[in-house]
Amino acid sequence: MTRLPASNEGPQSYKELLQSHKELLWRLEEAEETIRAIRQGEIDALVMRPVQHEQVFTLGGDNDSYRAFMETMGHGAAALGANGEILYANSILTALIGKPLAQLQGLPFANQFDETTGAQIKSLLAAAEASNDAASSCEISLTNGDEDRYYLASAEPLQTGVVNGWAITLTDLTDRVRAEKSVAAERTARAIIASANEAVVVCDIEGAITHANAAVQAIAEGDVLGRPFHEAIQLAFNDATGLVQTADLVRMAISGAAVQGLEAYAAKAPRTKDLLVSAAPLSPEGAISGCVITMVDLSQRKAAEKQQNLLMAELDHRVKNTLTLVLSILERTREESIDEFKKSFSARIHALAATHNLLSKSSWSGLSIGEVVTTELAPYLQDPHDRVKLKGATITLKPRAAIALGLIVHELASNAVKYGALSCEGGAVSLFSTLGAPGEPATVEWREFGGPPVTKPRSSGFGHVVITRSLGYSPQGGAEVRFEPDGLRCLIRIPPEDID
Amino acid sequence: MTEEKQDGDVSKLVLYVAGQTPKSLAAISNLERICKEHMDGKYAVEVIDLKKHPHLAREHSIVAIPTLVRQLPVPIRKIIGDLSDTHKVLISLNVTAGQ
Repeated sequence: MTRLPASNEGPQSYKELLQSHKELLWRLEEAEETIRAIRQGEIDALVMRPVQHEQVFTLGGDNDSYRAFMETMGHGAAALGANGEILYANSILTALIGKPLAQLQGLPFANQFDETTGAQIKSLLAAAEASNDAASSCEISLTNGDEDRYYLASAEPLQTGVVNGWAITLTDLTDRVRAEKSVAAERTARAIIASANEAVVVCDIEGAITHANAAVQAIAEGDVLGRPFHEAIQLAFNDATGLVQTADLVRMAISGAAVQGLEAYAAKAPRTKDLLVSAAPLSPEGAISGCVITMVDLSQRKAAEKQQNLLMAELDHRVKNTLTLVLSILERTREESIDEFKKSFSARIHALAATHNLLSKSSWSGLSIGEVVTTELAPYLQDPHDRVKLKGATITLKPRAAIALGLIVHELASNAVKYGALSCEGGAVSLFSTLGAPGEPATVEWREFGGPPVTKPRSSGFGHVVITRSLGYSPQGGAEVRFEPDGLRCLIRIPPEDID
Repeated sequence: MTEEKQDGDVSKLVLYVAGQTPKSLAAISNLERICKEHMDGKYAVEVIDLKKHPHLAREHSIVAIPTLVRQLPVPIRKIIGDLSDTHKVLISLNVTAGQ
């Protein structure tokens, strides 16, 4: 440094005096700047020379004490400057950030984290500044390797020497957050299981039931919780040829092999016996901790399959019967010419078809006598009710009797139109139906009035055979024709088993 | 200690700090930022920790810490404080902003 000239160095030149004056001014300026900096808190250490050697004194005390204190804390902790720069961070926090302290000091604390967490830290410091002395806090998450960890970040104003900064701590909440998440996940899982329509059972690694929803009560009686699955719910796998037992199903799932869509029968189930069973390993944390078994109620599907099989058998039976009937009609329809044959044969097939149509519309559930008669008379009369009087026509017949009655009425109507009461003006027919006593046949009486005088034919044709034999499938069924002079009469007996 | 390229136009700066006091850390951080943003590599910085080497205060008669000394170009200039006022630092170093 430039020294002032000593008094014994002789007279000074004007130039030297000017230089000395300049240096004095400069040193005065420096002294004033130093005082200003001290007063305004811009420095925090002073160099003094109390004896011979310079010593440095820190203003506001040394920082070692608070740093030692921060190191003993069990949490991550940092002292930040007024602008959020790192003054000191303890070893827990530097390990968390992944950089040594020397690389962090002076850098903005918020910038040491990802964008989202950095923004949270900045908001936290702003909140702490706004709340003055009170501590502010927020929850943040940090990724450490593949692991997400959760922290409570708290900030509070801190006076460090002459600096007004921040004390910030990060308290590890990971265990608590995970426990809360686990409880929430458990609650959600229970809600999902409870809301499922199918029966859902969760087993532990030993195969004991830990969860079961309400639908399980239709399959197993009593409390199933805690019981081994294969004891609580005994299933028979018909398609598995006896090789797979209930315990095997659980064992397979727990060993990691999922089983899907196995049809099973629960013989001891209180309500639902036919089931579609699936089992899958349960591995929420990666390792298998048990299995989930779902059982779908197949009762309705099985019932539908049975109904379908029944219908198929019934259809098969009816088609065979109808074909036999058609062949019989074909065999016995004898007319003098081909045209006559075609006419008679077609009329009989149409009569058969008309009753079939009616039965089809009623899903083969049965027909009333009125429906059968009206349909069979339709080809002959514009309005059957004008010349045909019906009584007791609401009696309902099963399909077999309805088809037979249709054929009989067709033959009677055909004969009446050709030779009987419906062949001339003024003729009429009455058709009175009466239920018999229990176990006795119902009777339908066909009676013709006002037609030409009746004479018994010399030989009976196929029409007569159809009339008398069509209901002969039952000992109590049948029909008799009487050729009375004032009109043909036919007494038809419907077997009691074919009346609904 | 930071060393940048040196040639005839460079500023030689000496920053005196006292260990890791907040103002010392702030001064280091601020000086790094100013040099990076405004001095385009034309500087040489030496950081002297007077806690470790207190006798080095004598060379530039350092009293208050932190203090930045512009050793070159002459005349010597001293800037006392944590260098948070960038404008003031640039004027004292005779550096135009953005240079």
